Amino acid sequence: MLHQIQLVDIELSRPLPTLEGLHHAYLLKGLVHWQGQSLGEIYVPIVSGIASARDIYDQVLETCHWTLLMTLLKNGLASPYGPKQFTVKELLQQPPIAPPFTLTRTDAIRLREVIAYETSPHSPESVAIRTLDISQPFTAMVDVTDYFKVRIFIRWQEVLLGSVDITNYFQAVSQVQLCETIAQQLGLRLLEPDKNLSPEMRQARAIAGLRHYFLQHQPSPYPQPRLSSDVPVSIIIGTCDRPQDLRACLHSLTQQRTDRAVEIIVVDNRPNSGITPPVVAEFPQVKLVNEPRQGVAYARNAGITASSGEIVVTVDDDITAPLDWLEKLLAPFAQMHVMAVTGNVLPLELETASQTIFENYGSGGLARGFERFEGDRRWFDSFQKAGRVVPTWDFGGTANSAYRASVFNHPQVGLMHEALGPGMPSGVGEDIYLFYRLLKANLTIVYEPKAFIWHKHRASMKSLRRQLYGYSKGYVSYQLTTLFADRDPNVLKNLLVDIPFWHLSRIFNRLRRRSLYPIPLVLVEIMGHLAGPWSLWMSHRRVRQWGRSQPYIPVSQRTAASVPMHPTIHSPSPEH
Amino acid sequence: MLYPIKVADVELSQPLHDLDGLTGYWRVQALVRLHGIPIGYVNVPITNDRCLASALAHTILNDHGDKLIQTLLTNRLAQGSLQGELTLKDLVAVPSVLDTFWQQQAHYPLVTVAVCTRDRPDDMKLCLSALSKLDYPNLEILVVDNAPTTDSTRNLVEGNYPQVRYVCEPRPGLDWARNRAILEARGEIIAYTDDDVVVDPLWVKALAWVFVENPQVMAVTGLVVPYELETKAQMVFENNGGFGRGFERKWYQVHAGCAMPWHLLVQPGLFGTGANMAYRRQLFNQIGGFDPALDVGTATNGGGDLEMFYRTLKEGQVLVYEPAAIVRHRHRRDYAVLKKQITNNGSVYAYLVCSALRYPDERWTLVKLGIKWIQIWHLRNLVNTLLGVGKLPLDLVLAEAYGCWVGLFTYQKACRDVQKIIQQFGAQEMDLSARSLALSPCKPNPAVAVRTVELSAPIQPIEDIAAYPNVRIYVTWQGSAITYLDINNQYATLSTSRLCAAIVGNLALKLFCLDRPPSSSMQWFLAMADLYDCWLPTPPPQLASPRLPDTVPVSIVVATYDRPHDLPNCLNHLFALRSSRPVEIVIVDNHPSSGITPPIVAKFPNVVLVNEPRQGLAYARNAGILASTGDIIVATDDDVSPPPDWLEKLLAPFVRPDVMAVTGNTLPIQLDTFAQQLFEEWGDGGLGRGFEGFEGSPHWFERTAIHPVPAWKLGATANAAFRATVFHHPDIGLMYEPLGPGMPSGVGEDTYLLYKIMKAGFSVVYEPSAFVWHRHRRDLPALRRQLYNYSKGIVSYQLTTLLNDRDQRALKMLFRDLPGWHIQRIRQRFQKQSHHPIPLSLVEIWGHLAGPWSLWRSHQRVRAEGKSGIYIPVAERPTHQSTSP
Repeated sequence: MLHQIQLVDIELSRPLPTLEGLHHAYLLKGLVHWQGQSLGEIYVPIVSGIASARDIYDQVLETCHWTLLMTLLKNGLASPYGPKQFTVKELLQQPPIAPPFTLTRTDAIRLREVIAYETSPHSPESVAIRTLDISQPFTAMVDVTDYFKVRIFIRWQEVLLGSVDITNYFQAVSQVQLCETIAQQLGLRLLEPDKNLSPEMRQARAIAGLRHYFLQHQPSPYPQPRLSSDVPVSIIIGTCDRPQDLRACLHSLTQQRTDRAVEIIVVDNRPNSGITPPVVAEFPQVKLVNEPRQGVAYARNAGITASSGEIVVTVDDDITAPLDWLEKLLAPFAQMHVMAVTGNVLPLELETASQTIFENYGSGGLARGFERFEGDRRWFDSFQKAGRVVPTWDFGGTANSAYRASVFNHPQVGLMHEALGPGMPSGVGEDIYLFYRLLKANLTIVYEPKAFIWHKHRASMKSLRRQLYGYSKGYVSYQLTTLFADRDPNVLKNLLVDIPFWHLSRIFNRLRRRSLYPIPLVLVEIMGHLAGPWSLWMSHRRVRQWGRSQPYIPVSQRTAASVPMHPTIHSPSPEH
Repeated sequence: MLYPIKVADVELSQPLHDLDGLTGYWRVQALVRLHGIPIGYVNVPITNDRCLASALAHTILNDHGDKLIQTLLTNRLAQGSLQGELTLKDLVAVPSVLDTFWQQQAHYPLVTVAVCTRDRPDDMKLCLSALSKLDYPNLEILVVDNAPTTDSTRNLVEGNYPQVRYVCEPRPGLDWARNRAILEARGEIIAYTDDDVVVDPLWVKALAWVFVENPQVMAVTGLVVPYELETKAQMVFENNGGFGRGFERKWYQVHAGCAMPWHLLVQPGLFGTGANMAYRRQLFNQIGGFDPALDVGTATNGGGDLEMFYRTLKEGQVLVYEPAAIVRHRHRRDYAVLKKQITNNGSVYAYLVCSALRYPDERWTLVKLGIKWIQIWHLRNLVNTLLGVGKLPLDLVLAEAYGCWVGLFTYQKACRDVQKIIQQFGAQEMDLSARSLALSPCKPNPAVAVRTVELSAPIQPIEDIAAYPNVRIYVTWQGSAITYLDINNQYATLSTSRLCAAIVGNLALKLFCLDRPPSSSMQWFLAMADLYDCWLPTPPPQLASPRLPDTVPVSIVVATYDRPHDLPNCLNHLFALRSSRPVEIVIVDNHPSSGITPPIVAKFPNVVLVNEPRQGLAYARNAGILASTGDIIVATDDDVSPPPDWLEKLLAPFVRPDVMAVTGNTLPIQLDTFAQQLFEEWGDGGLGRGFEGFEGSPHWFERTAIHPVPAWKLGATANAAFRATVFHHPDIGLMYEPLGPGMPSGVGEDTYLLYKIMKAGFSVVYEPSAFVWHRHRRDLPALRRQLYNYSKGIVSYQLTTLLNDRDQRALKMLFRDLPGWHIQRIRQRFQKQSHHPIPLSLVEIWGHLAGPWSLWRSHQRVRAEGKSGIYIPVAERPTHQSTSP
């Protein structure tokens, strides 16, 4: 898949239109100019073919405000008429200066206040002292050819603003050089020079001036991007004998506020017990798929293979979703380059000590913060180059994620890795390994914290211990998988150095009373890490015995025979 | 020496005005308020007897911009749901969170205000007139007269204030009177105050707000600000801690049955003071009333309020400090009374003894606390005062230490007195003795309630959390979680205003644009710019616009030592100065025997020539100062060229009465030679001190106990002006003769004069716009000589502050900063980061080592040649003359 970047030139001195009809590109790269002078470049996302003027201006203010202010100051200094006031408002309205001032424009030489004290033979490195009142127009400084360097004290009428040093090597100093050096060395001190303002306040007023100039005619409410409602979606829920949780989950999913076609598929991972079908039967629009081979990856894969949506959403059975969750999770897909979206997972309750501990585990339970971010191959490589393993877990997990269905038959991605994930000896990791492969294939994942769901953490200490043991096994299994399957170069250092050191520092902090994390849990995690390689081998054996999941076939290529609506996989059932 | 400070209120919801008629005051200390809610103090200088609105606004926005924005946002959030982007301009009109609360409240509970007094009818008069202006509809005011000796209070109340109820409590002791108020009060809330305070009209409204909104709160204390700062005693009291407890609401609660945490105990007045406290009546039914063996009127003489706060918390009840409940306390004007009051500070030990007897489980903590207080407060004060660096006079420190010793034993005696009083007068009608709630021992509860708050809907109190000690609140905006807050609610409901304050504290500026917030620095800049647009649309000009009146005469004193080329140039520039005031130029010839100077001076009319044969710049300047007649004396050197507008710019800051000296910038007139360039790079940049003005205030002088005060950053007498009064001020005097060029010690007479001016409590202003051009030494030998002298002078100056002023901060400079500086420079030179030649560094080190010896030699010389005379103010001089001593 090739995604295009639209290159544009932006001239800020003219009003910008909102750019439309850019359906071929996902990103706008703008080269920003002010009256022809280059300021820098900005990147603006294109959503549904539109890059709004307000977005472009916002990016310009964030990225280029400093270069813009410097350019304005330089132009103001060079103006032949002399600026009446050095305020951002005045400077923005100044007419452009005809082709930049050159040394030849020294015809109208006006000598400045010269205060050379006495003439004397100059040493080869003597410094000239000059003063310059910038409230008057000025031209080149030609009387400094006897000097190696000039120190110019800059005044605005009565106020001494500061000094600038120019190393002129016995040459005259051109007006361009003067303007540039003064703007560079005194910076914002030149704005409202006769006013008593702190440096921060000068910057504040400058930025506010720019914002007022550019944004006063822009609409204030931001249009919220939305995925076009004719895109069908499938939601896959793997479950294993948890009727209450499943009922609550399905209840919240069937209530979603959306006007698109939503297919909900429950995968029963333990069909022999017969507990799940009655619950699913309560919700007529929910489909049931059986997958007797135990393991979340098997279950999800079965659901994905059976799904017909263009976008596949995976959730766990112990979550509750707010009513607007689905649309918020899907919104980033309005940008064509986004291949997967993950959301935030917040605790439904923190009634017990184990739930509180889990919520404080790692970087904060399953929650991943309130800032949106994107990852792709560049993000992936930035860690690899820094000698670190790629923190794919920063995106969250399959408890709250969505994918374009096409990734599942992408040659470099495919379905979830059956040997990883809960239900297998290896514990967890099928989701972060999927992210790993997505990123490596240069497909973009977006973490969208606006789309959050509530998750019910394990309530007892015993199940928390089991969960953390599984997480620890799964972490090692995942890392070993990236080592063996993808030859990731940084795994060994992570497993042999970083992880032991992390455990030691946690124990140390606990002993120093800097942390509340119990040491027995650290020991459980260490045990889990040690058991990781063995459990991965066990999982692989099991997968070899049971066989891989069926591959995903895009809806358009399916025939009635190839994928039955309710696949019943005839394979040896689990031994236990 | 301390000078009166004008105490004022500034209300930001109204347009700001200049404050006029401030003759005799030195500064304005303004309490900044927005719709009555206090934001903070600002300290603003007075210029020409006025305090300009622009200066006021400038200081407020600089010092309290962040807090102001937070208050505006809290008001807005409490008012209702958010929609789209907020603009700061609209927020200013939003009523305060306090007003919003009472607008939605139909019922005002009855509040009893109890003032306990004893024979102070004058104080009572002021107190009652303020009480009658309270803005609260359901109020009962009670004056409890404690064992009065005269009828004056009764007559005052019954004669002039029919709405005030007068009650007499015959048992002597403030806590008997406070308990009497409990018995008499009809309200469910009792607010206590003293007779020496003036309450704010909003006081009761703010107290009742906390009680009504938070049913779990049992006690509320408020902000106490000074009513006036007119006398030395008042300033000492305010500087010594005063009553201020900050401008943030604070919640204090100890988990029921748990030990009191150390951080709540270590500062005795942390929770507030008896002059501004209120309780729910039912608290006294549960844990008893005030302990009559404590507080004023008994042997213990204080501590009743502290003991009550302690008991409230220890029994697991909630105490809130609410700064919007303001009373103004009239600190004692009289030094003797202040001393007595400070002796009474020892009563905190009586409170310790009392609490230790009542709660055996806390005994060991309280003993440790007593030891800690002695260590951090009394011992430190004593040592500091003996070393001459303390803030308090020695007699006050000793009085306080004495009070502490006595305080340990008074409680038992006071208890015996209570028994006697009960025998004499009988017990009070109801048993208000202290009692304990039977609390189960504390057990940690891990449960955390998870709740959400939606910002696009009006914020409602969270009530269904009575089973949880902690809450985690996910804040959502249009259904998306944007942040979370962890609040320790201790099983109580969370009120709207508490939620609003917590949300604003967490999200702050993001609230302005929740849809897509810009980067936080960008957001801060935009908000600050908006603040300026609201309160200061045109910022004040860089140059001080008020001018010193033209009638103030000025003397310019130039000392010279045989420089026939420089002196005429300097005089030419001095004659070219633009000024419409009387200016006298005094030239001091420091080498009269050479005869070089007089012919030059003779060419200029009306220049006063003074001879000073004793060599030394301090001698010479002193001679010039003694001969001068101006009210302001400007000191400059003979090798400078001042621009024409220099003088008026240098004099402009003297419009402020607290400014005793102004220094200006010194710029190089030429940098032709390497020596000149080296000198210009030396130290902070030659003689230049930067292009930003600043102020050396007494506060700046005292800001740290370790780092020496960098008085040299203010500049030097090559470009300085002084009020003539400093030279006959007992703590300052003339320039110190053993220092300065011409003496073995090298330099330092100017820095030391500035040091003494700041130490005496005055301000020195560095005014960079008043600059002069200075010609640096051209050749390297002269530079070497100069740096050698400078290095000697630095050490001599530091030794002088150490020996004369007991300023132990000099030790750090001498033994740590200077060696470190040299090592760093030599290292930088080796790393090619600096041009400073190593031989020059060695010259400086050599100069430092020679410093002590040179200072001793200078002292010897001064002893031989005698000190300069004594400056006599012009008005007191017998005849107008310019003599040389």
